Amino acid sequence: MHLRHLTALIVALILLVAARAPADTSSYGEYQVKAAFIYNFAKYVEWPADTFESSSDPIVVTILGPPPNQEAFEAMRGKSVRGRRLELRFVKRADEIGTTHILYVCDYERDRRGHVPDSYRNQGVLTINDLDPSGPCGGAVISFVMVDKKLRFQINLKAARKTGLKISSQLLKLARNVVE
Amino acid sequence: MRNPLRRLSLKNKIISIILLTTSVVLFGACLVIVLYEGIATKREGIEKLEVLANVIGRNVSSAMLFDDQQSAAETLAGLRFNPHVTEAYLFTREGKLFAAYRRSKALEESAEPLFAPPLQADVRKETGFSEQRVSKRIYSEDKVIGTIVIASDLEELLGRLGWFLCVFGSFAVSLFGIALYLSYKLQGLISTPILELAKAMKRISTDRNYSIRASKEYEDEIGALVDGFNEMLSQIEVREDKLSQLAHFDSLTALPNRLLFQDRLSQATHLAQRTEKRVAVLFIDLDNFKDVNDTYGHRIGDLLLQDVAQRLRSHVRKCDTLARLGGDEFVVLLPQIENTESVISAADKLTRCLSHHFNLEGIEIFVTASIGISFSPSDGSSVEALVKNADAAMYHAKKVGKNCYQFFSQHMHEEASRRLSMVKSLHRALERQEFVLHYQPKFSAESGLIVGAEALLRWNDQDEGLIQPSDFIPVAEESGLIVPIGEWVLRMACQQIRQWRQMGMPVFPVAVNVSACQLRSQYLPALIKEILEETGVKPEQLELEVTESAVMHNVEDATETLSALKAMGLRIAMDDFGTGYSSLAYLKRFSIDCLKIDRSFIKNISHNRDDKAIVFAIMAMARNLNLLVVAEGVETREQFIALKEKGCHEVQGHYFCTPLPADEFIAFVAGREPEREPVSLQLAADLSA
Repeated sequence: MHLRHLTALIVALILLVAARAPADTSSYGEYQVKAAFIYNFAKYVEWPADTFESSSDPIVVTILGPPPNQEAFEAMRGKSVRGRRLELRFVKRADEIGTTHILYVCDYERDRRGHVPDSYRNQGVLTINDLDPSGPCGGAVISFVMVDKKLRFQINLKAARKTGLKISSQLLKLARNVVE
Repeated sequence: MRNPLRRLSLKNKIISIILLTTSVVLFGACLVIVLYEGIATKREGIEKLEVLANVIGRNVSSAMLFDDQQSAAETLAGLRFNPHVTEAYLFTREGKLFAAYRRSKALEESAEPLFAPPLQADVRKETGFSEQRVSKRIYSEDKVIGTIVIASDLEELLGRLGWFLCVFGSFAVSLFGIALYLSYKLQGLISTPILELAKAMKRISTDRNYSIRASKEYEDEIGALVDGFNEMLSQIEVREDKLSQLAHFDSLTALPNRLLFQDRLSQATHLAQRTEKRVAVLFIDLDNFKDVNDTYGHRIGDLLLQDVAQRLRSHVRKCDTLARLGGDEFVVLLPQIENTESVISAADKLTRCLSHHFNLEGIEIFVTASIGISFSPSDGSSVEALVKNADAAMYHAKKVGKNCYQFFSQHMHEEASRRLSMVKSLHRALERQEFVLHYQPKFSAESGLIVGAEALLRWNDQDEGLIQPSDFIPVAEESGLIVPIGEWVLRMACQQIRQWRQMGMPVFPVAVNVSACQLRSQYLPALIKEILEETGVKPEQLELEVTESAVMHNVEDATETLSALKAMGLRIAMDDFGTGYSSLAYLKRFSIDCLKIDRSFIKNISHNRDDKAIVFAIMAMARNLNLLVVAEGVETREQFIALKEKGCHEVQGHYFCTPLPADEFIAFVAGREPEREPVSLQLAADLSA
């Protein structure tokens, strides 16, 4: 109960200015925390130099598969990281993805099991999925895991290397698990 | 309450001042340095904490973003490598504790989770009595995500301050020691010269030796003080010399004065006693020096005294003492004389050396001196006796004709004593009114009537009875008493004239004798005028008799005074005429009315042809000059007849009437007047013969 409150508070802290959402802690669900994490990941990741054409290009965040709570991600819209605006896209199929910098493969589609489409595994895209502890990682750089009912993440360095992304040691330090 | 510093010695005062100053400076310096060090250490501590807060804040921002309290706590735990950090806290933006670090277990258990103060600024730094604390905001993408608070103890600060106090304290103590040593050693630079000066001053004031000088060591203000002190001593020395000179030497002639002479004479007599030799005292008095003063003024008189002193000095031996006793009196002390001849030769030399004339500002002056000589021990052994006896001998030399020397003999002493007692008696006589006037009438040779009277002074001494004028007048003249006596005579005579007039007696002039001394005084006319006004006597009732010698003594002044008296309406008679070697040419210049032929000529007129011729010549001359002629001292009938024959106007003498006391004189006049008879029956017979 206590920890839940804290989590909610941190999220509220991040979203307060932009969202001006009512500070009702019960309304912050799992996907709201995930949206905050995704936004924070952007801060600790460096894309390869040729990723953006200009300094004003937005960071495109694509959510694959309809998330159970799409509004939770809406808070991210209009935010910026290191001067770049976040652009939020929701797609249902992998062929709709197009150019993106962050790709979250939502595990809502259970059949896919968070599988990152192969074409995005080495294109300088920060890929994120939900990890099924019993299954394979699905090729994502960062995978959400639930530890003691708390949202944590693990980092796949091999996948990261493939994409050419530089991940901050700060992030690596916080990762529950770093795999090769 | 007395100032406790009052009795502190100069040395201790200087040391105290230096030490006090040193202490203040050292304490001040110590305070400033410790304060500075404290502030610097405090700031350093704060800065360190701030750096730590920055580093930790940066490191825990990701953990806060991802809500990873464990990771945050691990990061804070890294602070244990800094032993001074006591505690550190992470707070969320809302002020809830996110992670904590505490150095000691005890603290970890006891400490309550802190309430994070809402930060107004980016950072807050606080220093308390036991800890320092820095609070700092943590940012992510320009958004505040939390606050970090780090606290450290003051052990480092206090440790450094303590160390500093130790080092600087010992440094200050050693500096104080050095200052003590140096001030003790160096205070002498100031105190020693002052103490030396004070010592010198004390020595001088106890010894009264003004030739001592204080020594000067440094050319500073104390040196200047020493210089000033020495300069003052020099002036005192000069003044002492001057005072001694004034006390022992005569300022006019620079000769030893009476005081020094007495001292030397005293020594000489004592020495002579031991060596059985004699000492001679020569008392020198210039003859007629008074005349020089009266004639040429005191300035010339002083110049003459200086020249005389100079001459006398060059004629005495080095071992003799020449001194000036005052006025025109000099003395010579001849010590250790072998024989009387050497004294005679000295006296000769001294009288001879003055025989050349003195030239003073073009005026030629001749002076002679009378010398009296006394010997020790035969003429007295005391200083006073020797000088007094030499003076008496000198007086005798004057009496026997001046310009000579006389040895003292006992009779001179007696004479001098008598003279002295006479002067005393005269003083007393004036006080006690022992003088009386007797009156001798003057008769007209023609008619035999009383035409005047001469007032004659008599002294009726208590002890000795009636004393004749010839016995006391010379003494009165010498002692100057003649002036008050003369005044008394004038006043007395005038009072008598008034009284007679009031009694209705016939009016005739009364003659009063005026001495040379009175005549010299320029106040005589004023005095007579005062007396006349006082008594209401008319001037023509008073006749003044002046002797020929008194007038001739100082012709100029006498002429002036006589003219003034004559102008007042007084009658002037020349007394003792024929004895004073007067130049007849002056006779007309003097405003006189009458000549009184001296009694010495009258005495022999009947049997000495020469005297007869003189008297007749005087009378002839007087007639031609239109002067009245009076014969005094007429004692016989022959004398009277001879005088009358030759036309003498008035006669006076025992033959007619002796000088009478005032009351008898009244009776005498009264007995004759009613009948308006000639002088006497006998006289009437003479006249008719």
